[in-house]
Amino acid sequence: MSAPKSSGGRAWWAIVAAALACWVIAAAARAEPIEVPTDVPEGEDVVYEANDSLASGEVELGLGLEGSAASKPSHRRRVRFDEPDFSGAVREGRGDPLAGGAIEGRAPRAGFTAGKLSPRWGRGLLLGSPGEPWQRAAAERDGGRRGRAGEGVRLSQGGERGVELIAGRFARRDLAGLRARRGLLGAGLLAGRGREVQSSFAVRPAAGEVEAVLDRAGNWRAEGLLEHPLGDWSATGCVRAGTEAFRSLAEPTRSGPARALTIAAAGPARLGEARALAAVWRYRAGRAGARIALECRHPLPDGSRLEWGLEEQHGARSAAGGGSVSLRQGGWAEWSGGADPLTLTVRHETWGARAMLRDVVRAVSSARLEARGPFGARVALTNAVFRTRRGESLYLGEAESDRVVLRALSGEGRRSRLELLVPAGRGRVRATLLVTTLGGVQSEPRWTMEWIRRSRPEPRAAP
Amino acid sequence: MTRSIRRLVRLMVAALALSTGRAAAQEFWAPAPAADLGAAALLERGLPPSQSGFEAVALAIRWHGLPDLETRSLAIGASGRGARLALGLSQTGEGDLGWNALALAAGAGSEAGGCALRACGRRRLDATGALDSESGVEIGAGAWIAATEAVQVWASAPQLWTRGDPPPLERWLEVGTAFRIADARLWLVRAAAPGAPAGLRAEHVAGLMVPLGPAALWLEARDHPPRGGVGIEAGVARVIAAVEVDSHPVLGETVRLSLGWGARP
Repeated sequence: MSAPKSSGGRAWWAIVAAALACWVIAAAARAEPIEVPTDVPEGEDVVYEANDSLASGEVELGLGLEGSAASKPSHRRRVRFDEPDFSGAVREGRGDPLAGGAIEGRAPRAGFTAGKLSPRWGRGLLLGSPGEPWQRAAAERDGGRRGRAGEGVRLSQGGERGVELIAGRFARRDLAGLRARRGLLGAGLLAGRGREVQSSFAVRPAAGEVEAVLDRAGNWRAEGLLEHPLGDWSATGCVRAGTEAFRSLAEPTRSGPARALTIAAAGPARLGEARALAAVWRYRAGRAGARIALECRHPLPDGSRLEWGLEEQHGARSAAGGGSVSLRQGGWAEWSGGADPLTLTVRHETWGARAMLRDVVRAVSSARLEARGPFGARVALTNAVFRTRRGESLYLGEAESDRVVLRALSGEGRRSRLELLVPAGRGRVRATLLVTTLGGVQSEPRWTMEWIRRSRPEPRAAP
Repeated sequence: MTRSIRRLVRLMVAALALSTGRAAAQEFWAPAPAADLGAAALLERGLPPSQSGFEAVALAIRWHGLPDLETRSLAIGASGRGARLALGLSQTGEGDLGWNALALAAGAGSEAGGCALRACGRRRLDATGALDSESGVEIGAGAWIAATEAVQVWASAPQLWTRGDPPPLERWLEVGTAFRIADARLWLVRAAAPGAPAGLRAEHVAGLMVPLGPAALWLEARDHPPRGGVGIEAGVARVIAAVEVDSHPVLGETVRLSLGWGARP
């Protein structure tokens, strides 16, 4: 896998984009179209850490190589461990946007983290990044982005009645924060070197969550979420209000729209499990947007399933840029079937600039074949054919052993990926081969190879 | 000079004729419904047959009524237990317009589904009909699943990787579904390919097959441009003959003949 993009500003963007967003992992695992965070420049790859936790006592080691016929192989290494009271992870590799490490200590009423930090206070308005209102995750209690906001130290003391102290570097800024919790309430202060101070007050009742934040200049933002069952369905509403000038000290590029309303519902329907979302938002006058989406997951006989969705989007997804307000109407369908040892998934997604999916601006068709062999061996072959109009990008999600990469693609082309997983050396070897054809030109195949071992100590025999 | 220009013109005509044909078909495009899988489909699309046995098929294709662009192929398939193998030889065209092809495919199959890898190597002929130095190879794969007893879904990417002289026809991804309704079969296919018309860069096919006593008749409709085809297949004992005629509003008819022996669906 290539590290996302080049050096300089692009690399910085890639690091920012390497936020550990569990909600995106979950979204990528579902069939719904991929929505890329708006703090990533159009056309950039995005890398997320995989949401794959270790069991207590486990240690995971990964040694990898990647390259192509036209480039020298580069190394990548990682180690993770998880003890009942202590855990940690370190990654290194040239150009790896996830490189770095963190250790975390846990005690019944205390804890500390040093290294990469991904804290979250309340709804994430001040620390942790708020959910984007057009995303389904915005309408979930813990659905915001727990991103790799910075590096530093975090100390916590106490449980429901406790305090949390954070000191580190976030968005090229040295910050320190203190937060106190008392039952459902939480109050915190975040301060920078230049007398920058922001405060947060949060309430977390059983059916929702509210957070209000304020800075020294009087700029504020507040967000509330309410969950409510409706018979077999569940409905969630999330509303945000505030001043347009508010920017979080820790994550100024992720502050999102100043005003937003998101309503989501999910439940059983005649066609299967349905999910619906409606959202409107506004950054400032003349820069607003809306999204309405419906998706349905329909189990079929013999274990196969069909998922489909329709949606319409209007307007802007970022505060910057011109005032262009464009319509995008999308539709997608995915069928998956078969049983061990052979499963097949086919998918088609199309986006149009006019009603009824006309004037296609993005289209992608893909097929994925997965075959399982003895001793845990597995082979998967994915082929995707795509086409975008000039100025448009689409993203294909590719899962790797420790990360999910959203590949930005544009133009007309196809992408084929062969994955092989075989047991070897008391671990597993995972190899991938990738061929991309873009604009009629087939690139040199890229390859990766990684040896992964996950182990846990043998339990001691009783005397 | 004149010879080079003539060769160029003839190659352009051939390329045009092939590129406006079915998006997912080359040397081993047998006259058969899209969901009928045999040795030819294994070589052409990487889709292995569900049944075991030995099969040999001889094919003759006249593309768009061009006598200089005829394909003659032989496909041999053998399968036992879950393994499926096929080997094919083909010659298309004459003189400097033609090429020879050797195809191999191997995979696994059963009543529930199958998958296979296929490879095809081609070598052009020179003006005398001898093998030229220009050659190319392509490697692809395909898979199908019986979603239910009456529904079959397949995907074929016959050119995942190519090297050398480019293939005469670029084929990307074909996805299809076949439905069995009583004795009839209905199939829908979407084949993506570069340069095809319309916004989605894909050709769509709809087909219907009905049994007629010992024979079977099928009709196919395609878009870009709208056109159709008709085919018939009949067999005695283990010998099966089939013919299919596909019309084209501009380029004329493509006629395909096959004579096969052995196991068939």
